[in-house]
Amino acid sequence: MAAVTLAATSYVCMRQVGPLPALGPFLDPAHGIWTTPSTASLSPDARAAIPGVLQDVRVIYDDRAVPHIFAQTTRDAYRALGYVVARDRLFQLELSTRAGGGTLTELVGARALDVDKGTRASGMPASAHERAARLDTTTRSYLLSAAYVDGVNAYIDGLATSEYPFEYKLLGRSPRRMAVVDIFHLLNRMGATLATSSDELTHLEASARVGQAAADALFPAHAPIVEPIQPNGAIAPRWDALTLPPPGAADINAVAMLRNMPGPDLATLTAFAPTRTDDAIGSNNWAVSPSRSASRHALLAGDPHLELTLPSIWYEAHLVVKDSLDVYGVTIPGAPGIIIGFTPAVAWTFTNTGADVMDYYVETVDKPESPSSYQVDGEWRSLTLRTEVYKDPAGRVIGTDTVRFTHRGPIRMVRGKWISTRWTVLESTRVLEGFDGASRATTAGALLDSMALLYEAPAQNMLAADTAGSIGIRSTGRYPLRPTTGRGDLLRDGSYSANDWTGNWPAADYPQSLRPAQGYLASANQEPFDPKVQPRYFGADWERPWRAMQINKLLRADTAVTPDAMRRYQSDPGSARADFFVPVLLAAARAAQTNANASRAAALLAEWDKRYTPDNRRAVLFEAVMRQLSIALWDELRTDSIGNPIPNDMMIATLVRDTASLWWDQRKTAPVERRDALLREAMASALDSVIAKHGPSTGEGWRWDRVRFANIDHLLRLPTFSRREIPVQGGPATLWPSSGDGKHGPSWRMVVEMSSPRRAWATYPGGQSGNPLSTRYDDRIASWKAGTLDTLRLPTNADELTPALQRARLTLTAKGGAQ
Amino acid sequence: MPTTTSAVAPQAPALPQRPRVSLAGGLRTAALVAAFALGTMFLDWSIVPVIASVYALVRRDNSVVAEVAAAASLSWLLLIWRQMPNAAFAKLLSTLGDIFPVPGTVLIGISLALAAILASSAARLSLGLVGVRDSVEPRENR
Repeated sequence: MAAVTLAATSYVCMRQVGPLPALGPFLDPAHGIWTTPSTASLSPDARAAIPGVLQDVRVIYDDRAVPHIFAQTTRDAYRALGYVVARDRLFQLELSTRAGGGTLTELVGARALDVDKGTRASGMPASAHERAARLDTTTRSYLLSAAYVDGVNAYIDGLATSEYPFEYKLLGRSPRRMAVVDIFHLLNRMGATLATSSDELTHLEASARVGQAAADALFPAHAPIVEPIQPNGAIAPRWDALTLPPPGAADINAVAMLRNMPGPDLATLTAFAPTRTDDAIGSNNWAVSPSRSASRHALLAGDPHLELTLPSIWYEAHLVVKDSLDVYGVTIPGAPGIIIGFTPAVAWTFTNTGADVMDYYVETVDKPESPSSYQVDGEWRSLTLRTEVYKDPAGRVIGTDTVRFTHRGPIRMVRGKWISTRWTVLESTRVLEGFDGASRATTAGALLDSMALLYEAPAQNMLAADTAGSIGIRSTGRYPLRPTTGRGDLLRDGSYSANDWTGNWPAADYPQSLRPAQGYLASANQEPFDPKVQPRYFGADWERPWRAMQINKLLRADTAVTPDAMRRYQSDPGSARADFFVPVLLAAARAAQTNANASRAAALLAEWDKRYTPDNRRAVLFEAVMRQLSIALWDELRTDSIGNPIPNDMMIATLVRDTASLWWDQRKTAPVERRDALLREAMASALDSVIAKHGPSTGEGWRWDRVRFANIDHLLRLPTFSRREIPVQGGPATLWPSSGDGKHGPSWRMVVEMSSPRRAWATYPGGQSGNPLSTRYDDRIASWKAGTLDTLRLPTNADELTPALQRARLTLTAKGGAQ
Repeated sequence: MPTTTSAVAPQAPALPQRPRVSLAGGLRTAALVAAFALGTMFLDWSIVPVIASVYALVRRDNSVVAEVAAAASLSWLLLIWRQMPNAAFAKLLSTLGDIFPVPGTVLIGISLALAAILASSAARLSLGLVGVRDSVEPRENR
C-alpha cells in the first residue's frame, strides 16, 4: 500500500496531468510557485557578474522602474540592456521569439502545433536561420547583438529555479537560452504583424462576385481622399473623383480560381500573421517645427498602435555611454536596441507604411500532390525542400512536415494551386544596423538617411525631429519594382521570370519631406503619396485617412503647439469620419418623412457632438448606422459567410456623391433604392438594433464606455493576469481608435520637446515588470486610460538621479568579480 | 506521619498515558524538520521521501511514520511562511485562486499534504522493506 501511495504521489509530482503542472516542482516551497512573491520587486541593490563585461556597468532604476544604464563601452551597455530586459521580461522574450521561430510547441506543447506549422510554412524561421548564418560577425551591429544576447543569457544562467518567472512555473518549464537567430525570429514576427497583405486575394474575391472593373474601382491603388504623408501643398484633404462602375457579372477566371478547386482557403496564405482589427493596429505620429511651437523648439509625438498585451510589447530603457551614446526610449524584449526614442540631438518614431511588399505567384509544379520541381520559362527548377520537425517540451517529436521554396520564397498549396510568396521581410538583413544608426544620428536628416540605407522591413513612416529645429519624415523600407503594370495586388503567373520583381525603389523616390514649409508633418497609415505627384503603384487598400485628417485639422488650427497640446491630441475624441457622415445622414432623413424610425434616429444623431468621449450616448447609434449601411450597401459582395471582400468606409464616402449609383440598390427588394432611401433604412434598422441591445436612448446602456473597451490580455490569455473592459476615449477612426474586440490600440505614447536639455513625456498600457505579482506589472494603465503622460527622467550620468528618484540599483561586473 | 499513597489510598482509575516528550525526542524532531527544510532548499521536493526513508531505516520504529509526516509538513510550512510577509503573497493567493478551481489557501494545504504523503509513504515503505511491521502494542512495552 505504501509503495502504491508513494508511486502515485511521485507520479503527480513529476508528471504534468492534464492542464495541471507537475505538482512537485510547482508546489515546492523553496523553488516553486510559493517563491514568486520574492521576485515581485527588484532587489534595492543587486550585483551580478556577466561574461564579457569590460568595466562595471551601473544600472539605476528610477521611480518609474526604468533602468538607466551607465556603461563605459557601447557593447557593455547592450549587454546590460539584454540583462535588464531578461530580468523584467524573460518569459515574454522567449514566447515572442519562439512564436517567430515556430517552436511554441517546445514551450507549451502540442496545443501550439497548428500555429507553429503556419509559422514554418510562412518561411520565416528558415529565413531567420539563413540570414543569421550569413551575418558578418565582425560588424558593429553583430557585436552589439551578440553582446545583448550575452546579457540575456547571463541573466538566465544566474537564475535560480526559485526565481523563474511565474509563467514558467505554471507551465513547468525552464527558460531557454537566447541565440542571435532569435532576434531575426522576433523581427520576422513584427513583419508578420505589420507588413503582410492579402490585396491579391481581396481583389480576386471581389472580381469573382462583381467583375474585374468593379473590383478595380472598389479596391483602388490610390485612396480617393487625398491627405498624403508627403505634403502636397494643399491646406485641406482633396476628394478625387471616382466613378464606381455598377456591379457587373462575375469574372469567370476569378470564379474558376476560387470555386472550382478544393483545398484550403486563400486566407491560409496570411494565416500566420496576427489578425488585424479595424484601424486600431494603425498608428499616429506628428511633429511640428519651431515656427509652430510655443517654445520655438521642435516637438514630436509618437503613438504606435499594436496589439495590447500584458506585459506590454514595449520596455522602456535608457542607455548612456560617455561621449558616444545617450539614447532613451522603448525596446521590444528580444530586440537589441531602442526602437522608438530620442537622443540629446534627435527624436524619432514610426507608423506603419502599409506598402505592398508581399506578392503571390501561381506556380506550375511537376507533381501537384508532392512537387519537387517548378517551371520557369519552360525549364524545370528544383524546389528547395526543408523538413520541419516539431517537438514537445520533453523533446519528443510530435510532428513533421515539409516546407518547399521557390527562388521567390515559400510555396504552399491553396485551393488546389501551388502559390509562392515573395516578401521583403524574409529578405531583410540590415535592420539591426538601422537602429544602431538611429541611436547615433545627430540630426533628423542624418537619421532618416541612415535608416533609408539600412532599414528594409517592415516598411515604416519614420518621423524625426532634432534640436536644430528640423523635422522630417520618410517612408522607409525596401519597396519592390514590378514589371508591366507595376501592380502588386494581382496574382502573377510564376512560370515566367518576367513576372519577378525587377529591382527596388531608389530611396530618393520614397515618400519623404524634410523641413516642410507648412511647419508640421503627420502620418497615420494613409497613402503616403499624392497620386498626382507620384502615380506609381506603391500599395493598395490604404488605411482610411480619417485619423490623418483629424491630426492635420488639429495641427493646422494651432500655430503655437505645446507639449501638452500634443498629449491632448493623442486622445482627441473628435472624428473626421463622423464629421463627414453625420451631415449626410441628417440630410437624407430630412429629404423624406416616410420612415418615422429613421427620423427618430436622425434626431438622436443630431444631438451628437461627434465625439467619442466615455460618457457619450450617441456614438453607439452612429456606429450601428455605419455597420448597417455597410451590410446593406455591399450586399452584392456578400455571398457567403466568410471571405467577403468588403470595401472600407472611405469608399462609402466616395459613393455618397453618386446618389443614383446602382450600388445603393438592395438586391433583395423589388424597388431600386437610391442613396437616401438606403441611408434612411440603415438609420432605422440601426436604431432598432441599438435599442434591442442597449435599451432606451435615455439609459446608461448607450454610454460609449459601456460599449467599447480596451481589453489587455496576458500573453497566455490567463484572465487573472489580464485587464479587461477598460473604458477608453475614442472610437473607430479617432486618434485613439478602439477596435471591436478592444485588443489593439495605442501601445506607446510619447511626446518629446527637442530643447536643450530635452524634455519628454510618455506612458504605455502596462508596466515595466512582466511579473504579474509586481506593482509594476500594470501601474501605467491608469495614466494611459486617462490620456496623461509621465515625465521621463533623463539623467546624463549615474549621479544625476537624486536618491528620491531611485528605486533600485544593479551593478554588473566582469565574471569573477561578483559578490 | 508521612505515608505512601500507594499503600493506603484507594486505587484511582487508570488515566490514559500521555506520550512522553523527551528533550532528545524534541531535538530529534527539530533536526528532522531542519533536514527537510534544508534538503528542500538546497535540492528540491524530491529529497523529502529520501530523508523520510533514511530516518525510518535508522529509527526502525513505526512511530516515525507520523513523525516524518508532521515534520515534512512543518518544514514546508516554514518555507512558505518565509514568503508571507511579502505584500505580493496575498496577491499570489488570490491569483492562484483565479487560476485553479480551489482557493489559494487550499493550495497551501495541498502543498503541506503533499509533503506529508511523500514522507509518510516513503517511511512506511522503507520500514516494510526491512521487516518492521505495524503493531498494536503500546510503545512502552516494546
